[in-house]
Amino acid sequence: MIPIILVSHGRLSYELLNSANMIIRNQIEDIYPVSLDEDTGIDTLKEKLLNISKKIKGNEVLILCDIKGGSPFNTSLIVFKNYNYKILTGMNLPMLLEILMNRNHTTLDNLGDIAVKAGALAVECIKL
Amino acid sequence: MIAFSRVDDRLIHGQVQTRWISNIRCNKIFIVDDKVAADPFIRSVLLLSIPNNIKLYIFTVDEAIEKISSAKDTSDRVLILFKTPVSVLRLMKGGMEIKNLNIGPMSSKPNAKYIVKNVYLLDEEIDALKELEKSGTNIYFQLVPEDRKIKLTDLKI
Repeated sequence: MIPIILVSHGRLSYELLNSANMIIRNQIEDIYPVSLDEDTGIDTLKEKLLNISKKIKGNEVLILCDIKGGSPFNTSLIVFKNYNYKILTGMNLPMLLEILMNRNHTTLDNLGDIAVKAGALAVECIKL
Repeated sequence: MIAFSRVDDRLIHGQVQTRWISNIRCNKIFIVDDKVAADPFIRSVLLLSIPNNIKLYIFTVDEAIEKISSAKDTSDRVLILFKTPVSVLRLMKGGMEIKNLNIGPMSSKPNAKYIVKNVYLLDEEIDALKELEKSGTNIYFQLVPEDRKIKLTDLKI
């Protein structure tokens, strides 16, 4: 199973995982939410990510972050530079659900692709 | 033209990415820092961090003196980011004046003093800001555009 890291400004990553868990139960193994908190800063975020890297078995990881170019994104790139990683930006719930449904039976490359497609496809402007 | 100059030790991050870039409507970003310019890995992270419609350039302080003066007379809107006010002072001593300097977040580090919310500065950084202010640079602390500007001259440091 490909390990997943969710990383965000504030608690979004934790709540996104909670929301996913309302829809898909029992899939929360090997998923690690991480927050950048206003009162601590980048060094603490780096430490949290380093701790997670120790828990991950193997060299592969899929990282989801909220904003491309934000500190959660930048710091993840720095901490996981020697891993075989994919980083997805603009994470949302449909993206995460797609990952949870597929991560047992596909490659990291393919998982990244289908997650981005699902995430983008879910964003629409609807008017009745 | 130089649309905005900011000291921010995180350089490109959420506040810059989502608030300042659109607020200033810049199309180019110059990062001015000797260490960053010399680090190929950090350069590649920063290049990945910017929106597709913005061009990012990373310069040493010496390179920046020339690049900034030639950018001044173009229609480009340039946002300049520094990691430390010491680089801004070196730029000024090299003949490149910065009229208005925004100070964004500067993380806490050993020997750094608390200045305002999210800003900690070393003595040498405080000295650099004071020298810049004396030479006519308007220095203010402001994390995001909605925050009130706090002028350096209003603080007792």
